[in-house]
Amino acid sequence: MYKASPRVFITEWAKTAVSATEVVANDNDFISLGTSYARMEAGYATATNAPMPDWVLYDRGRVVFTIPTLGNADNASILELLASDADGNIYSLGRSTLANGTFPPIEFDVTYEKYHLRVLTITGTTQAVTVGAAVQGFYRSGLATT
Amino acid sequence: MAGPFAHTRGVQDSNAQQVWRAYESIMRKRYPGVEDMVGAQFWGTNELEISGLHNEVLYHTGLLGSAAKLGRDLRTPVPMATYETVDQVVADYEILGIGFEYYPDELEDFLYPDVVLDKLGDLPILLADAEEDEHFAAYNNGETLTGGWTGDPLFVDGAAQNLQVIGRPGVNLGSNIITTAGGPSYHLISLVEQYGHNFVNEEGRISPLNVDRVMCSRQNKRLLDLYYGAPYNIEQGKEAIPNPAEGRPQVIATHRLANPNDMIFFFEGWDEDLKERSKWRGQAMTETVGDLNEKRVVSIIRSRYAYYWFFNRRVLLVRGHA
Repeated sequence: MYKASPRVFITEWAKTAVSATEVVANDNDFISLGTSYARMEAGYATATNAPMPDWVLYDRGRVVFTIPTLGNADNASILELLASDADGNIYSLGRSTLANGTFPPIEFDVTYEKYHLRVLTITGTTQAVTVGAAVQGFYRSGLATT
Repeated sequence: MAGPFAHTRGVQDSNAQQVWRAYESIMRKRYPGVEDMVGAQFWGTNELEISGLHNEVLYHTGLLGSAAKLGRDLRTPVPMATYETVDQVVADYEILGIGFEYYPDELEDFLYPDVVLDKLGDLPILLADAEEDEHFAAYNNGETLTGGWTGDPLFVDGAAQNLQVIGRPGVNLGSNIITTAGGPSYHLISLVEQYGHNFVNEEGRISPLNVDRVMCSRQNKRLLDLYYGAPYNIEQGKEAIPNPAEGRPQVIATHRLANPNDMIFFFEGWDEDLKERSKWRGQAMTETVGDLNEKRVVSIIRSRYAYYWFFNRRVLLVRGHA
């Protein structure tokens, strides 16, 4: 059994050849990790399933990253995990700075519902970063390994 | 003195002989209509007020106190297999056994011990097994196999094929395949529950479903049973936190999945789809008990084809990495 959930790849968070800072003005692009629903629209129902319906079970969350592809070896980049509350306020939960060719994980408390990942900075020649992200929940008493 | 008390002394005030004579007289007594009874009812044994003797009588005759009245039809010959079967009587006197099933005579040719081992791989498959083979073939090839009226595969990925709604073509209800890392976990169970709770039926209406049963490997069955049956959150390991996995669906173990880490979840109503499809095909499952047994079996099998190919959305494939 697990002390943490399996990693769930978040398609919306995948970055493909991002070459500049991603400006976040509102939380429209934020996704809900745990809340799903089905509702009637125009006589037919549609369902929206969340990637982690078990999200509220866990004490902590962790975002792990795939091996990035850079436009140039001298690229330096920072990824930032954002969250928003019910009033639309946006908070920064943590940052991951590219080091030795990989992005270290970001850990945070599971107290928000909607999250977003953005490229905070990228510098160097031929700036481009391509990286995927997966999220996973774990317990405060669980093993703190990825 | 004969009988069970031949070597017994001092039973019930040392009058074992008298007791035995009373027992013999009861055993030899004939009752009208006794040929319709399983054994007979031993009026008088209670009057002896010797519970030990009473129990002896019951033990040696295999009776359970009062007699059971049998219908005449139980004595009529039924088509049986060549091997010995025993008539069993249950509460409503239904005949148990294989009288309703098709039994291939060719099987007898292979039952001799010296050829069984040689022919083991070639043993003919009983009808039920053939259906089971088809069952598993449909599941294991469910993503690619197409057939039937609509040509829909059993499991759709949501991209090449979509789950459809009657009367509203083009709407994408997604996929009934969930790919997740690892084996059973609360995350996996939550994903499955989410699929059921957000289920949109073929009319386009919301109808939440619970999991009815699960088919998976034996290893995953043990884990799923652990998860479903644990009294507390076993991932967190704190006994004060209740088990978040609701319900206890029946978990069936099988060795016959194509992918050893596949888990196939059946939601409520998956068997009702059989009837719907049967009705749709004009083959309502009206069983005639007592005759036309072969036709009844055929009808059930044909209706299950429909379940494979058309009403496939109450079956969910959860595929873990293997």
